[in-house]
Amino acid sequence: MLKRFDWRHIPLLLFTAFAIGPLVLIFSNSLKSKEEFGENPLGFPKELHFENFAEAWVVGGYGQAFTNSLIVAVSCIVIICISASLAAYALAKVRFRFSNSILGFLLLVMSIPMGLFLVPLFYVYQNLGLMDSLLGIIIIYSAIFLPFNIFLLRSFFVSIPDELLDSARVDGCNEFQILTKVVFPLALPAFLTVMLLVGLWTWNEFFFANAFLQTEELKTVATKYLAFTGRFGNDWRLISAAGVITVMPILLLFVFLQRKFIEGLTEGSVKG
Amino acid sequence: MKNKVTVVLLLMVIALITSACGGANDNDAAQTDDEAVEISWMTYPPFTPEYETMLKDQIAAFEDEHPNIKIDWITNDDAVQLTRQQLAAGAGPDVVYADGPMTLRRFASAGYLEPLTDQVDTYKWNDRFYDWALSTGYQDGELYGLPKSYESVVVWYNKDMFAENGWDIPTNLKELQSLNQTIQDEDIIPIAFGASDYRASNEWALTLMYNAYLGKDAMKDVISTEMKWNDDLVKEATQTWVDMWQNGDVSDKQSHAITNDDAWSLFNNGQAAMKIEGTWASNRVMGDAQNFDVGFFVMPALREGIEENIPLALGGSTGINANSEHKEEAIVFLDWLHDIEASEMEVKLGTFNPLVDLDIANVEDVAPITKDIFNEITSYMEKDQVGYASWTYWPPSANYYLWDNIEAVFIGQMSVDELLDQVQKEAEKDKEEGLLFEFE
Amino acid sequence: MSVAKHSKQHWKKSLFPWLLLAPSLLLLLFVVGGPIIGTIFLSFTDWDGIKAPSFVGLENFSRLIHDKTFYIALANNIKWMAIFLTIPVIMALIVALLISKIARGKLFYRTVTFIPYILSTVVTAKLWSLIYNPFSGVNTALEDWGLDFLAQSWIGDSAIALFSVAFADLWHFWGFLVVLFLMGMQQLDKSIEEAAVVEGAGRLRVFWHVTLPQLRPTLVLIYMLLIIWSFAAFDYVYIMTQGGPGKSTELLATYMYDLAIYNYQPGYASTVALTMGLFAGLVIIGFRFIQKKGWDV
Repeated sequence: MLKRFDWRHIPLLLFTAFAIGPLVLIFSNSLKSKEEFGENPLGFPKELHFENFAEAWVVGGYGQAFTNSLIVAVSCIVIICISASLAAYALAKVRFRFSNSILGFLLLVMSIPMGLFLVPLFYVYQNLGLMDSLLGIIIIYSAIFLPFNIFLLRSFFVSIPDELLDSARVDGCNEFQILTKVVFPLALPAFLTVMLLVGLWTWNEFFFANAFLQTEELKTVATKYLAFTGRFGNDWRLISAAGVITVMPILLLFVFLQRKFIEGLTEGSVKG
Repeated sequence: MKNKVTVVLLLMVIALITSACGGANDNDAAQTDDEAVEISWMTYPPFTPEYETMLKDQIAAFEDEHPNIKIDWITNDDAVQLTRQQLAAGAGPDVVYADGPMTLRRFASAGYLEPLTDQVDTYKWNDRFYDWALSTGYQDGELYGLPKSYESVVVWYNKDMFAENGWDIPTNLKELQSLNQTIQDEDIIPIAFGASDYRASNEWALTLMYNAYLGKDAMKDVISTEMKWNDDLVKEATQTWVDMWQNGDVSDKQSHAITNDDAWSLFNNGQAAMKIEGTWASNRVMGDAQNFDVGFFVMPALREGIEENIPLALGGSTGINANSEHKEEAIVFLDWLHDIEASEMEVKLGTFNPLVDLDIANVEDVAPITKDIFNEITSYMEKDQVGYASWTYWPPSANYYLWDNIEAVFIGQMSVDELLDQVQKEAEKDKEEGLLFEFE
Repeated sequence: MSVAKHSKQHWKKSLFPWLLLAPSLLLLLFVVGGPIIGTIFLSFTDWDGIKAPSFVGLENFSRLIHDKTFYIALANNIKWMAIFLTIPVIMALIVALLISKIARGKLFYRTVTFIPYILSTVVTAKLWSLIYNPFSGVNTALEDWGLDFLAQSWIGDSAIALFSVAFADLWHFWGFLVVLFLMGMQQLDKSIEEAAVVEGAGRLRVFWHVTLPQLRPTLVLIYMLLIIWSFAAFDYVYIMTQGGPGKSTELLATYMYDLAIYNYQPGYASTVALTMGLFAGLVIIGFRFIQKKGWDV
C-alpha cells in the first residue's frame, strides 16, 4: 500500500522553504510586542499579540481603502480582459499590415519608465477633471497593465490551431462568434491568469495612486500602507501587521482562484 | 451555468463602477450646497499621531473662527514634488507649502505664486516675524510666502550613559575624537546616523560639521562663493567628518545601510550614545521611546579661533497659488497658520514658528526637553551665534551633489578633493542661474 | 455588382483587426501616447520643471556621453539583467519541471512558490531591509549559529549591495516565472517526450532535446520581458538603498528619478529616459529578428 516517495519533493520543499521563510518572519513579527521585537527581531513570538492587527487597521484607516482598491481592481480586470483579449486575437490570428509595428509599440510602452508620465498626465487629467478620482486611476492602470496582458493572451491564442477556427467558420460562425464561442472558452485559464495578475498589480501599485489620489477617502490600500511605513518607521510589529492586512485579501483571492486555475488548465487543454 | 456567473459578475462590476461615480457626484453636490468656501492645503503626512491631532485641532480652531471657510487638508508623501507637478500643470492646492525658502522662491520665479507684498502692512508681518526669517520669502522685491518652523541641528545624547561612565560633553575637536574613542572602547557606537531611506539626510551631518568647523563667517563666505567650496578649510571640515566615519564612530560604518528609524533604534536601545539630528527630533525624545534621560548639546567649535554656533534653517515656507480661485480666504488661512494662537499649539511638538512674540514660557504642558531646545536656540540667536543650514542657505545643486556623493567618499569610491572640486563647479552653475542665497 | 461586393468584403476584412485593436489602442494613446511625445520633446530642452523649457538642441546628449553616473547606472542595469536572466529563470524552470512531474501536491507547490509575488513591493522591500539590517537582521542569527564569516553588510558593502537588492526582487519575482513556465508546459506535446523515454533517452537528454525546444515560445517571452523589465527596474533600489552606497546600486530609472525630482532637471532626465527607450527599441529589433527566423512567441 505504501506509495514510493517521489525524490522530487525534496528539492521542491527546499524551494518552498525559500519562498515562505521570509513570509513567516512577517507573520511572526506581526504578533510580537514592541519590546519583544527589540530583543528578538528574527525569532518566533513568545506571546501572541493579535491586537496589533486591530491597532494597525484603525490607525492605518484601512476600511475605506479596501473598498477603493476593490473597485479599482475589479474595474481594471473587466476593462483589461475585454480590450486585451480582442487585441490579442487580432495580433495572433488575423493577418494585417502593421501588426508587427503594433507589437513593437506595445513592447516600447512596457519598457518606458512610468515616472516620466506624471507631468504630462497631470496636464491632461487636470483639464478633463479626472484628477483625484477612482475613474482616473482605473484608466491609468488599465493602460499601463494592458500591454503585458495582450502579450500573455496572444501567446495563448497563437497556440490554438487554425484548423479549429476554420472548422468553426465552415460551421457558419462569423468572426465575432468564433471569438466568443471558440477562442475565449479555450483560453479560460489564460483569462484567469490575467485576472489574477491585474488584481495583484492594481492592488499593490503605489506610484500613480500616490500621485493621483489625494483625498483621504479615495486612497487605496497600497498608498495607505506606504504612508503607514513612513509614519511608524521603527515600529516593526505594526508595519508587519499592516503588511499582513494589506496582503490578506489578495492571498485569499489567489488561493481561491488557484483551484479554478488548475481546473481551467485541465479543461481548456488545447492539444490534449 | 458559467454564463450566468459571468453575467452576475458583470452586473456587480457595473454596480460598483456606477456607485463609485455616484459617490463622486454626491461630493460635488455637498460642496455646492454648502456656502463655505473650500481652501485646499497640502502637506506631508504628519510624522507622529500627536502631530496629526494637533493639525486637526488647528484646522478645527480655524474653521470655528471662520465659519465661511472650510479647509481641505491633503497629505501626501511627496507633497512638495506633487505640488510642483500640479503647479506646472496649472493646478495645485490654494495654499502652497514648500519645503523651504529655496523651493518657494523657485515657485515664485516661475510665476506660480501670488505676491503678498500688499498684505505685509495689513497683517503687520514686519512686526510679527523675525526679520531674518521673513526676508527669506522675498524674490525680486516681492514677498511670496511666510516662513514656517525654524530649526537647527544638534547632537542628542544619552544623559544616563554619559553620567554613568563619567563622559563629558566635548568642547573641541580633540575632545570629541577622544570621546568617540572612549565610547568605542566600551563597545558602544558613538554616533547613530542612518540615511538609507532618505539619503538627503546626510546634509544634516554636513551642516553640523561645516558650521562647526568653518565658523559662521567662513560658512557665509562659502555660501556666497566668495570662498571656494574646494578651499582647504572646507576640505579639512569634510575630511574631519569622513575620518570620523571611517574610524567607525558613525553607526559602525553602516550609516548608509540603515534608515534614520534604525539609527533611532540604536540610540533608544542604548547601542549608541549620541544621535545627530535636527531640533525637530525633540518629539522623538519627549515620549517614552527611551527609558533613559535624553539631552542635547550644540556642536562645539571644531577649529581654533572661532566661536561655536547653531546653524539655523527654516523647515518650510508657505505661499498662495496664483491660480487660486479664493485667494482672499487662502491668505486669511495662511496668516492664521502663522498666528500666535496656531503657533503656540505647535510649539509643544517642537515646531517653532519664527515669531518675535512666541515664547515657550507662555505655553502649558511643554516637555522640558522641548523647552530647553527652544531656549537654547533663542539664546544663540540673541548672542548672534547662528550658522547656516544647508537646506535653507546653500546653493541647491552644490548641496545636492554633496549629500549625493558623501557616501561615496566614506567608502573610498571618491576622494574629498574630487568631491569638492565638483561641488565648486555646481556652485558656480547655481550662481549663474541666480540660485545663490541673497544675504542682505 | 460582384466586384463591389467583393471590395466591400475586403474592406470589412481589413477593418476587422483595427476594430479589435481599437479599445486597447485608444486607451494606450490616451495614457502613454502624449507622454512619450512629451519625453522626446523635453529631452532636447533645458528644463528645471518649473520655468518654461528652453530648447538646447543636442546639449543633453553630449552631456550624457560624458556623464560618469550614467555609465555606472547603465553597467548596473546590465548586471541586474544578467542576474535576472540566469538565477530566477533556472530556479523557475527547475521548479516548474519538478511540479509538472509529480503526482501529488501540485497545487500546494504552485501556491507556495507564487505567494511571494502576491506581496506588494513596499512590503517585500521593507521585509528585506529588516533581514539585511546590519544590527538586527540575519547577521545576528548567523552570529548566533557561529557562522560569523557569512555575516555581511548586505546593502552597505558596495561590492554586494546591488546583488542584495536584486535578490530581494528576485525572491519576490521568481514564482511568477514558475507560473509562466507551467502555462507553457501545459501546451507541451507529452507524446514526443514519452516516445523519447521509450527509446531509452536519459532524463537530461530528453529535457535538452525535447522539452526545452518545445518551451521555446515561453522562454523567448520570458527573456524578452526580463530584458525589458531589467532596464525599467526601479522600486527595490528606490525603497531599499536609493542608489547608495555611493552609486553602487544606481540604476537608470533611479538616476532619472533623482534628476527629475531632487535635482530639478526633468529636461536632462528625459534624455536619460529616451536612451532607456532606445535600449528597449534594440530589444524589439532583436525580437523581430527572432520572429523572422520563425520562432513564434
